[in-house]
Amino acid sequence: MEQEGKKRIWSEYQKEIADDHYFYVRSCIRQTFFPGSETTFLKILRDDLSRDVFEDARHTTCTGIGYHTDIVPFETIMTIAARHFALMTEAGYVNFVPSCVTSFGIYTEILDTWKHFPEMEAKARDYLWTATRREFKIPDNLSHTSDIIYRFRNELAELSGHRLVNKNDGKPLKVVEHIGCHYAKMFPKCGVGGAEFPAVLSGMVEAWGGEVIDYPERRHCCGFGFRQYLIKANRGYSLSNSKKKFESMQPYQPDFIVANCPGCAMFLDRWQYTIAEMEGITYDKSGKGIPVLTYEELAGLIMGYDPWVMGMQMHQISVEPLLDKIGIVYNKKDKYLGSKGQYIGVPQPPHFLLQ
Amino acid sequence: MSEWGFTVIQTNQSDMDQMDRGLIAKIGNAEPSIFWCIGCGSCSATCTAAQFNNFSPRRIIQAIRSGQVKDIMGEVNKCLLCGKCQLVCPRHVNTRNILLNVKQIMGQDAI
Ligand code: SF4
Ligand code: SF4
Repeated sequence: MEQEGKKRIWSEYQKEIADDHYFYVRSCIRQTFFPGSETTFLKILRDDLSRDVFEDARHTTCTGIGYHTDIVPFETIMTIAARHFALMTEAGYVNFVPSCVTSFGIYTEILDTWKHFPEMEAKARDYLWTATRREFKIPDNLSHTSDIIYRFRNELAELSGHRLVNKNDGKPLKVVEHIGCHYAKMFPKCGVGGAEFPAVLSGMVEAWGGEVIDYPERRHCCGFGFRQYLIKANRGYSLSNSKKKFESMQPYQPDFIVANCPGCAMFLDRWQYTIAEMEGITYDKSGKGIPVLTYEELAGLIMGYDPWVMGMQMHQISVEPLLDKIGIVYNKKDKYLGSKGQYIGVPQPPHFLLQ
Repeated sequence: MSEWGFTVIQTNQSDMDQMDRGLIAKIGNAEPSIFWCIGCGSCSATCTAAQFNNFSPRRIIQAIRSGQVKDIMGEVNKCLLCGKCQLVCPRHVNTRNILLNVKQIMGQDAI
């Protein structure tokens, strides 16, 4: 195919990502399981890239998990989204940036519904006014936080002190990139590269010197799936989805996995422990498991942030082998110190996964 | 399972890497009606042998056609060769002859 034609087709897969002045909304899952990730994102944006990011403490959960388990009705969740848009409007912002891929999917779904069914938007405005006496403007730009890091990937590469290269042999690190289903599978136009060629994470990995692995089950769901997980007896479905991915990526010997959805990162990390305990299997040669990172942690690492300040001791799979490969200097003793330098205790070691 | 309350679920997908096209090539030759099967399950619903266990002639036909034949012999041996399945099949698949051929071919291969 002609390069021109390629460029034209690829341009259809691009999305607009705001350059500055972000209204940032946090993720319930991300701040619980990867407690330093959001702080890292804010620090990179504010301190390294000098961007304006605004947060409002009155922001609440989007209730996405409740919605996807049929507990929260659509009318309720769209009114909650409307309230968040109202907080953004009151603060004088127009660029809405959610940290969670579930929330991002919720907002894309609600905005698309309002576009096609204006009576639903009128309903949301009416409910919000009745309940809170608030009004809102629809955001000019809706970008996921991974879109923002993707937008600045080259600037970060220039600012960074580390590359995704194995310092022992000089070869690029082999990376599995996992995109949350709700990022672009529902509304392909809302994601960089659409649903077919999502480039949001591969773009970061390549800009930072790594090599993306194209394995057979690359676009398979991590298995979170909300109700699969929430009902204990169904968790086998969730686990088996992740297992299918691990088996598929194993022959390529990835150095680490990076995900843009906090749910995916959490399951791909924790299920490795569960599978190891249940079946005595690990998916790497060393028996330590494949480290799983959020893209904020990855960006933080190449920018030289302290892994323990970023909360990477909370991972199930130890990140030290990866840190050693990149050549990141860290203090072993600081791993189990809290944000105020207090000792937070060492977790009980697993039976099979080596630490 | 008891410890966790859930377990790894075996996949129902056909694994292309595990595909064995040898048996379908032979059976398709001996009993071409295997290709007419639409997987309706009438045979399994009628099958006498299937009343007492989880045997299913429909599942065997699907397994042969998708090349997933690893554990098929143990399954086929549950068949009584009564031929009821053939009577109810809306596609006139000679299921009994398919199963008989599996026994003969797999039996020969084993020798
Ligand atoms: S021939 Fe075999 S498969 Fe068919 S009905 Fe009889 S026992 Fe079942
Ligand atoms: S009854 Fe016939 S068509 Fe239906 S599953 Fe059995 S062999 Fe196939």
